[in-house]
Amino acid sequence: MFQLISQTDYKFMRIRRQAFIFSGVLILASFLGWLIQGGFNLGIDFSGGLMIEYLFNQKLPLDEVRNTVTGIGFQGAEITDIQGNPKNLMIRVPMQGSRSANDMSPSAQILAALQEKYPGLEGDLYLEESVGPKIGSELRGKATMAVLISLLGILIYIAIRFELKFAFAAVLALFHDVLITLGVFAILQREITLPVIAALLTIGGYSVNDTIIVFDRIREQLKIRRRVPFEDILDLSINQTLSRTIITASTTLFTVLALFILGGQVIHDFALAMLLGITIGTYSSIFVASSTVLVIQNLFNRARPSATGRIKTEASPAPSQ
Amino acid sequence: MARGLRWKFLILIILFLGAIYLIYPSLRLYSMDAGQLAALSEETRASLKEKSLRLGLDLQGGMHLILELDRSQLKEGEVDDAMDRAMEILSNRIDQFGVSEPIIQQQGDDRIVVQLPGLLDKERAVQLIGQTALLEFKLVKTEAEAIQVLERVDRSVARILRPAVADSLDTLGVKSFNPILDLIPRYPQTFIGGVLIPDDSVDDLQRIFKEVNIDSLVPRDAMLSLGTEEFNLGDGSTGQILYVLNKRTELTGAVVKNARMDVGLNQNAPNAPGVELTLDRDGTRIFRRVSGANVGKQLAIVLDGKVRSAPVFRERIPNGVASITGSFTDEQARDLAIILRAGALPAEVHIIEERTVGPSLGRDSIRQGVQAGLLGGLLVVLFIIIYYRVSGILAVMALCLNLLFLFAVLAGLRGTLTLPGIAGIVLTIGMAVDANVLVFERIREELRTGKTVSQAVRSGYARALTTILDANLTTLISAVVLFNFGTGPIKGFAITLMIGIIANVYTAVFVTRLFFDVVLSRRRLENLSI
Repeated sequence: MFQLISQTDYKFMRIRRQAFIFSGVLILASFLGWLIQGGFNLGIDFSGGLMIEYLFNQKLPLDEVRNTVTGIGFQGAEITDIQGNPKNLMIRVPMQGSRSANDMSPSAQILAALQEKYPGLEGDLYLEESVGPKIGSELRGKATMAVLISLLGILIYIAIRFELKFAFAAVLALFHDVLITLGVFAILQREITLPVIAALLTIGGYSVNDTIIVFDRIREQLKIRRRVPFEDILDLSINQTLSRTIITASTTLFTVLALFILGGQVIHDFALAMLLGITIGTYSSIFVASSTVLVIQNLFNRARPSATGRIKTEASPAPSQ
Repeated sequence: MARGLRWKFLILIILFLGAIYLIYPSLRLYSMDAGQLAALSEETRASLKEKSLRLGLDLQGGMHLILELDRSQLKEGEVDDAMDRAMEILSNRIDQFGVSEPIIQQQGDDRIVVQLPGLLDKERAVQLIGQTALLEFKLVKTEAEAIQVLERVDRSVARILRPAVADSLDTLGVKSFNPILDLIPRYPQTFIGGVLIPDDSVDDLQRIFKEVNIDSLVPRDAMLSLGTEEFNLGDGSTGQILYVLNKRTELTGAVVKNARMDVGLNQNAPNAPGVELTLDRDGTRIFRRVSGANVGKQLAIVLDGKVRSAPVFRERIPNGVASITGSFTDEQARDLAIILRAGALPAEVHIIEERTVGPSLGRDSIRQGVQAGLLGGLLVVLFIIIYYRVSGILAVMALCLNLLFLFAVLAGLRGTLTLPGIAGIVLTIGMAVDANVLVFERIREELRTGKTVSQAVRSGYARALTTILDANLTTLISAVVLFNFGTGPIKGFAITLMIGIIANVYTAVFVTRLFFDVVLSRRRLENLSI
């Protein structure tokens, strides 16, 4: 048998304080980053606007392109080159209201204006996206709805399959993963687009998936080892599932990394979100989720000493007694 | 082989063959080159395409539009009817334009989704779809009437603009202020149904019109409209005609029975393309009357508020044939004929969302997506085989089966493969392995406790089952939500993820188990390569 991780006996519960501090720092940093950067960089899917990408047959000075584009009425246009190719330009314009279909499309207007200035210029239109302000706010609403409903669905499912404290911890871990991923996006000012929202929901699914596998083991161990303290059961379960957690994270990361490096610009942000989310999700399912269960359990026990969990499992008569 | 095993094996074979059956047309279609495809009969090609996995607009290039009918132009209660008409007219226009597999769907009360896949001349398509194509025939005012209107408008405009420029004018010693008339060179000039505005001044004129809200200043029975034709001003420069028209519409496009592109419709420009209109019975009657009563006058042909041309009635026209000439290319004339045949949209449409992917980007996306998929898949396969040896090979076989099922179901559902869809598949590969890892790790654990191979396999699967179900169901919840709330591209991702998850559970829980069982039923293994 070839093993990356042999049977381990790490005491994860003992370092739960450090884990909470670490996570707390990450979340605080995310929040501060969001605050300092002045919020998220919402893509045109949500803010509305115009995005045009051209591959030109000659290099164009960005400043002059910006002047030309603003000159024909696209106020606030931003011009960037893509992946360092000065012929491959992306033009973004914040929304200016929806346009009548009788008009020439913005990409054609821009190309015509540029061609007037640079004779012989040819442009291969790679991409043109325009989202009206109404659609933008609708998509924002839909995305928020999707995130909330999916969270609720997961919460209900876990609450049915496990106890409420597990459901609570799993959803907390999920929030943890999604918030930190969002935080990195805010700090780097990467765009929040529809595919990124899809990635966030997938991260949610993955995070819960990862957490549940540990919780499943905890549930199983609670039944078998009735005399073992709750804390040790948690450690044992995490250790027993550790090799699976690492292997699955690695194989998923392989594929996401391939998407990130080779998938092309369209999928790049999606892959980045997945990359972050899976890494953080793996961390949280090992260090945060079960620790949270323990904290809730302890709070619960202090409040009502005769409650379930550790007390109950210890109090229930073992066959040998 | 035990009885139960035989049944399971049979089911697997049936599913496998079913998947091959569903995926075969797609394999055939996408392995053919353009020549081979052209060699097929029309019918075979259509049925092959119908049964194949479609490529999304982001992969093959194309245009996705969401149009909104401008309700403000409609009366209450007209919206439903207008939507039905708009849908029909758009369908007609697009049919005649000749795009393969267009999608035209109503969305909500006042929206229309239009998808045109493949290579296309985007500008032309937008023009064709978006042009309201409200065709009106209006009489041009006589010179005396026109001058009266222009001077009156000029005075009104001056009154509005005066305060702003009064100071500068006074210091220059300019007494009269004629904001409109000043833009007309050599006024009063030779009258040609309107006055010529040099190109340099057109922008100024339009700015003034916008600033003072010109429609409110024009006498009630008249309207001003800039023509679309370029006219030579004689001194080498060019300009456009500002027409002074009767507000009253004599005829509309509703009476057009047929429209076709033709050349030689205008005697002055024998090679210029134009559109010849054949009017219906009512139209012919009205046209006969109007032409008879206005011999020597000009009739302006106004399309979407702009004068296309303004021919002179030389005589009474009895046969109901009219023509539109002006600065057209062949293609524009042909498209205009299509639009006029299909009819005018009941109201202006706005493009509220557009997503166009050029064919070059589409090709790049496919190439990169496939490369990423292959590399990611290869890494996973290598890892699994090195780590789990023979059992790893079983898992890889299951993974391949998983992908086969995924593509087959997608093809069977007439699904569309989009770029996020490919991402979903790549993710499925990553997660498909998870179920196998769960089982294999569990079997390893069981082996460590000293169980025999067949015992370990049995309890390994049994114990991993609930975990696998729990884990996959939660991901399924996210996928279902994404599917219901997501739009276009996200839906594609959600669909592949959903199918992938279901295929995962089947292949990981039943198929690899079956492989193990078949091997174990043949011989007793002392050691398991896992």
